[in-house]
Amino acid sequence: MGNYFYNFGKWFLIKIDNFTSLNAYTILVLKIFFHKRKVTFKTSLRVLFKQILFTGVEALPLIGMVSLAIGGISIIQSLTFLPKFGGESLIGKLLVTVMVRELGPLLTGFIVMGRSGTAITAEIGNMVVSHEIQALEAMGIDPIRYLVIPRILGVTISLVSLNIYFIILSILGGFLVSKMVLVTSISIFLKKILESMVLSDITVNLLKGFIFGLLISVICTFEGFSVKLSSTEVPQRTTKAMVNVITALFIADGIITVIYYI
Amino acid sequence: MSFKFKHLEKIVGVFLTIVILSVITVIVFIGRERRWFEKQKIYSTKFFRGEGLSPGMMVEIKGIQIGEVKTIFLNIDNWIDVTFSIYEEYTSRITKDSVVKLRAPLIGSKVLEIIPGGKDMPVLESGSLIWSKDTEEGSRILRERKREEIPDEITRIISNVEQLTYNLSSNEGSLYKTLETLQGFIEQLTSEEGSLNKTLASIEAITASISEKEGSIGKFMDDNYELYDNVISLVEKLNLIMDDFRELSKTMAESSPGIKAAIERSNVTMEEATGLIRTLQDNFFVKGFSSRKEPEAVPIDNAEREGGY
Repeated sequence: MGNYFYNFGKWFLIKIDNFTSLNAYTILVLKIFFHKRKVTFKTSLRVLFKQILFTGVEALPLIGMVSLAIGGISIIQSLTFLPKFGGESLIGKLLVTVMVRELGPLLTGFIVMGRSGTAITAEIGNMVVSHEIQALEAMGIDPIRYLVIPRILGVTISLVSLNIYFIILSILGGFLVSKMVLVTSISIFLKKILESMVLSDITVNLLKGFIFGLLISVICTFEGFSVKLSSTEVPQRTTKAMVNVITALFIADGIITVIYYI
Repeated sequence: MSFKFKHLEKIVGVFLTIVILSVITVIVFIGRERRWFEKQKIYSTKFFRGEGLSPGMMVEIKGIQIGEVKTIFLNIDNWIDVTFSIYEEYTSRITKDSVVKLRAPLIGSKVLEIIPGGKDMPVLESGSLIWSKDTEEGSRILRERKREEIPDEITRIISNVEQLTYNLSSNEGSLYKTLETLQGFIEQLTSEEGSLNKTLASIEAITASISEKEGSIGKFMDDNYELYDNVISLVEKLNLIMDDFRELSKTMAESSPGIKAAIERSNVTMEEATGLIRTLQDNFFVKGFSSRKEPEAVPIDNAEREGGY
């Protein structure tokens, strides 16, 4: 029994230590971000563009496919049960609630986490193992400014943008499916969607995209820098980053939803 | 000044530009739907109780949204001061004798309903107070309007009655058609060739023949109880037959062991005869080249199985 409490206490202290370290790391990143220094701006901008290309543009086909499918599926599901109690008029509201408020940001977050988050952790972890970070520091280049800040900005901008693409394409998917079942024109369908949509839906979507992007990039870069010596640590840290990101995304999603809609 | 952009920058630029344009478009469309860009006029009212009142609540005229509630405030006299906006295109209907009331639909939240005033009344300026149903002035206006509406109601009823009488009296009305059908039916019944007349004549002939003791029924009725006596003697004979049958069954029951043995013997004889016939049938010379068809097996009930299950 005593051993159990010892193990639990040890586990809890490690979690607390990780959490406080992550917070300290975030503060450090913010401090460096707001500290004016134009020397590495041009180079960082190039890294930022590359990050947006990798995280945003290249993820677009996958996001497009998923969003079209989810939009269509939600319409099919709602058309099977809503007409039973005269709720056809709620189809637009349902699509907005599912796509814009909840599923859109979460699914986009998971896709970006799987594609780019893992890559960021593995990349930085390998750079630590091969002493590239030390080399950067020896050259007087701040690795946070050069590596982390462009990635945080890139992932965050990409996630917010992908969220918007997700909404547009899921609505398109929903329209294509409803066109097969109902006789409706795109203008009437869009009117119904816009009638159901309020500004807070868009605000929440953008806010979730922004916060999810920050969480994914900060946690993944932090886990990348947590690699010490061995290259075997890289996959372990990558897995840990994924688990932490999933937990963080769900907690953040719950908090934002509670703040906005309750 | 000439700019040189890399392919990477162009792609990322297009990617982000589409996002920015989409967000702006969606916000503009939402604004149009929510009438953000439309001019509105502000009016106020006051209620005695504030259940169901909330900012953003719909303001309607006959179920059509014409504005929304802006603020709700409990004033020093413990009345609820409510300010609300009305879209400019509907402000011409907000006249001096308009009244506001809270309406609770069957499903959904309450709405603020405006009962528009008369067309000849002056239009209220922005910031004016519209009486609610809870206020004395508001209920007075509604009472007066109801009084004015009663003659209208009577006129409507008279008009309906007029329409009804016209329908009844016109050649195409349903009542006229029904009466016409009924008349034809009565004519058919009363005419000499009609079925009713014929049926009545037949019944008359039958009753006449019965009363004159003609036909079977007449003869039966005039046989001086001959038929009755016959029936009585038949019943007596039947009673005698039944007694004989009872005696016979009693005798058979007493001699049943002998009958049982006789039946068993005859069964054995029958089985032997069947075996002999089957042997003869199986004989080549008797059967010839034709084959005997075996009877098909019939499933037996559980009750017929020896010992059962």
